[in-house]
Amino acid sequence: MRDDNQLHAAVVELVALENAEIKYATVQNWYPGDQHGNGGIFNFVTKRGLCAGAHSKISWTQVETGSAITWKYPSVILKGDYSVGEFYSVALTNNYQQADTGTKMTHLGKHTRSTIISKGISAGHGQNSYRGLVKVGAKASDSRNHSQCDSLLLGDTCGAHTLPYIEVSHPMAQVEHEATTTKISDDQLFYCQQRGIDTEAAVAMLVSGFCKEVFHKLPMEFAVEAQALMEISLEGAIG
Amino acid sequence: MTMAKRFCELQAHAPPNISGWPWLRAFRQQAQRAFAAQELPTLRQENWKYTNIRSLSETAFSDAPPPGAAELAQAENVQQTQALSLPGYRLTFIAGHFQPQLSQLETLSGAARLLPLKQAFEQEQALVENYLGSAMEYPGQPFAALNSARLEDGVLLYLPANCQLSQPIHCLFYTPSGPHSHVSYPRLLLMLEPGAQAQLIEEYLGDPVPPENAAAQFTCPLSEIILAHDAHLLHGKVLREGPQGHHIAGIHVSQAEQSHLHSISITLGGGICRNDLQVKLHARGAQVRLDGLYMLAGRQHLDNHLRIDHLQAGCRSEVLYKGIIDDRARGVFNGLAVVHPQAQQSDARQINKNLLLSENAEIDTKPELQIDADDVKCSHGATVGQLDKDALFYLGSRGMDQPTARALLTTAFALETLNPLSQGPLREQLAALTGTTLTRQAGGKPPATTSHS
Amino acid sequence: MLSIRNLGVRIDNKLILQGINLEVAAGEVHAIMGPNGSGKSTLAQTLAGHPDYQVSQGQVLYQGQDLLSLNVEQRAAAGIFLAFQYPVEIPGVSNIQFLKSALNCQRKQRGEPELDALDFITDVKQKMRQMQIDEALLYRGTNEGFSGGEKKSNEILQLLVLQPQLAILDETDSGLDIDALKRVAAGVNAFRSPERALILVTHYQRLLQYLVPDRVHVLQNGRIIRSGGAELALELEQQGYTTDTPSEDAPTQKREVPDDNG
Ligand SMILES: Nc1ncnc2c1ncn2[C@@H]1O[C@H](COP(=O)(O)OP(=O)(O)OP(=O)(O)O)[C@@H](O)[C@H]1O
Ligand SMILES: [Mg+2]
Repeated sequence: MRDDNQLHAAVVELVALENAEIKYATVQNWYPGDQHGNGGIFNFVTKRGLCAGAHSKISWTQVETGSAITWKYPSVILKGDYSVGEFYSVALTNNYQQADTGTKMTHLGKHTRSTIISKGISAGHGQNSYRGLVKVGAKASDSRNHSQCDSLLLGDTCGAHTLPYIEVSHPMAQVEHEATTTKISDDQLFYCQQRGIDTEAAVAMLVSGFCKEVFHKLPMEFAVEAQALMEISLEGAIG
Repeated sequence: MTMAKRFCELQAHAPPNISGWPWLRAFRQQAQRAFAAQELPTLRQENWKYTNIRSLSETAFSDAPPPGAAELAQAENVQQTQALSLPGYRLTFIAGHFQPQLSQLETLSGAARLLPLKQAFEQEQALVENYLGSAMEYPGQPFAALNSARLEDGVLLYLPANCQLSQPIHCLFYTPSGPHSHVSYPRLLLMLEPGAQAQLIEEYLGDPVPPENAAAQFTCPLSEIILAHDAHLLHGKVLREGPQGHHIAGIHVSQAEQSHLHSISITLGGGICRNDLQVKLHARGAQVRLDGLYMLAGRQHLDNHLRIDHLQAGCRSEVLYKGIIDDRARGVFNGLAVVHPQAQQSDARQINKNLLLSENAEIDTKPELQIDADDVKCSHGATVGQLDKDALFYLGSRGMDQPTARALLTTAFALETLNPLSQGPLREQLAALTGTTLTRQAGGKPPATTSHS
Repeated sequence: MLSIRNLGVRIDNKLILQGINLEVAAGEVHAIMGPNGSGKSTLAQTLAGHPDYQVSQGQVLYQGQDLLSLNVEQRAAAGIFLAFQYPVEIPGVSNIQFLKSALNCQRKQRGEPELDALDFITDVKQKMRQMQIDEALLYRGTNEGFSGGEKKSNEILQLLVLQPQLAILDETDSGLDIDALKRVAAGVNAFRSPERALILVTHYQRLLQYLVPDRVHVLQNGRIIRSGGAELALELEQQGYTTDTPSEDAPTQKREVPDDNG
């Protein structure tokens, strides 16, 4: 049975009215399949949010370490003036896992703000993609977005892909997108090792440092859980 | 019926037939088949998501006839008053037809060659046959196939090992406006053998003030650039078509070990325009720097599509594209860096920055990274915004009025793309062109909201 | 404690160290001086076990065992500590988290139990006060955005917390203000004991006034070309490394130029 794939296809819809604030946090560790990529969950999830009222806020935080394949793009439509959308994500893929995740921030109202922080970690034969859209409509004056999408590669058989779409049709919008893809710094690793931290622990520590901005957004008990999950999921990734 | 078929049907003429060279006929026929096998791009295709060429594919463009006396005179005038004025070699074309009397060519010494492609078909058949089509692929590139099916003339540059041209080569393509819709397919074939060096500028010009009811014109150029070991090329492209001048161009580059390409692409005018710049870094130490500046106004549409393939270890690519978009114009930027599995120690950086100057302007930017090796340093950044408020305040505090301060900062924003160019007539004239365009943009209206870097 | 015999080291196939011999006994302080690029950091990094430095010849014995057969973290657990000339920044990993993890990993390797969290933090804070390091630095990313001097002080804090046997300080005195230098020296003196040894890589006599070396070695072109007592450092500071310079030509005002830009 564990060689089969199971499908998980949930739908989540959030609506925030005036001055309302929703924080939605997910830590996902479904069965990822075995180390050869047999079995595992297909995690295809629809998540969307509407900031309908002025000064409303929707914040998505996710830590994705499980599932054979994850497709998930929590989105926010920023309709109310001064509304805020956030997306904080950590996605880790090891062995033959694939994660394709990101967000859509659609700025319609005035003075709307969105922040995107996405951290992808690929190990083994894992594939990680960030796919996102930031759209600023013609009436969304004084709207802002900041996106930071970083990918970390552990090993030479994995892959990282960053596909951000940015569509702006208002001159008073300010949109900034930054992305980096690197491996773990040799200097950082050596520094940790010189202080006596073994390679596996050093990598786990550096990876968690890499994800810190996102873990900070999780409720405390979740953050501890997420951290532990990351370490388990990374097991065997460093050789 | 595919759009490709329709496109062919609308073109009254069959592909021109140059008799006597079966290989060329075969080359064209193969390209024609590759073109016919593809749909013309629509917005549903990822690579054409933001660029609608429907109006183009429904216009009956016919092959441009050789210029008459009036066009020749107009071309001469444009060349003297509008075009870049660079020392060195010049090849001038009117609607795709080479004009010896407006050109400045001399026979290069030794094995080096610089001549119109049509002439090269006769005189340098071995070279052409050997290299034509070698730096490009048809799949996913319908306009490269179209150009290959229809090509008739253009430029051939061949530099043997260690041949270093000190003077730039200026290729001027003038598209006259008129009541009929014409199309031309210039083809450039540039081969630099090991250690060779050159500078080549492609300039596309339309009439600055076209007559009323001027018909749409279409230019569909393709450049193939082949750089051998340690070859260095500075490639410039200046696009200043008129509002009815549509332009879909391909620049396909193949780079060997330690070769360097510096490309600077400046777009200041045109209708629906697209540049597909594709660079393949085939061997260790190959380096490419792609700089671009676009200043769009009116209803202009410009789509810059860049793709850099890091195929082997130790290559480096750097991209800086900047845009200032006004009126109802729309800019599209898509930069893709692909690091293939064996390409360790790749260094790929990409930056795209934009200023929107009007309520109706739009920018769609999509910087992409596709990484399949781990020992890499890759980054990209994209911004859309206004001028830095702190900088504006600082200049104000030094007594500068707002329009001046804005103009200063906007100019600085634009000129950053020219910084890597060495001092000389090219840089000076590009800077001057940029300046004039900015003044024109600022002139029409109160200097709007603007940008940041 | 440490015995280096005919050590040769390459980087990228370039021979940097060519036959180093050095004996360091427990309780001793050795200073290594020498012109820029002579190979001092190379020696330090090699002892710590940096993988980029390839040992081409020779042997290193540490407490009787073959040091070169150990990997970097095993060496650390065995008591070797390198204060880096250029400590690396690790954003996202707080200083306190880093220290705790280092200490516990070392203890685990040595088969000792983990330290109680409260004891640990009390100990760290006490040592920070001693080094006059702002407590806020504990919660910032390791070395992230630290000033040059703060980085150096932080290296000594780690030395005090980790309690190694053999400390190698690579230009820890460069970039420190006068008071910070005194604190660093005091910190290192607190670390000293008859069981522990110290190797100081430095360009300046000043640190050696506080930490008087038993031996001073001059490294040049990858070889130790001179060794002597503490007085050698003073002589070098007056005369420079160019041995053929007659001593009366050596500008004495050089003493007044503490260009500590490390
Ligand atoms: N990674 C490397 N690749 C190539 N050469 C290197 C590398 N690291 C060091 N070197 C060279 O090895 C030599 C010794 O360097 P080292 O850092 O050991 O000098 P140093 O004595 O510590 O100098 P300083 O007093 O300036 O700190 C120098 O010439 C240096 O350029
Ligand atoms: Mg050094």
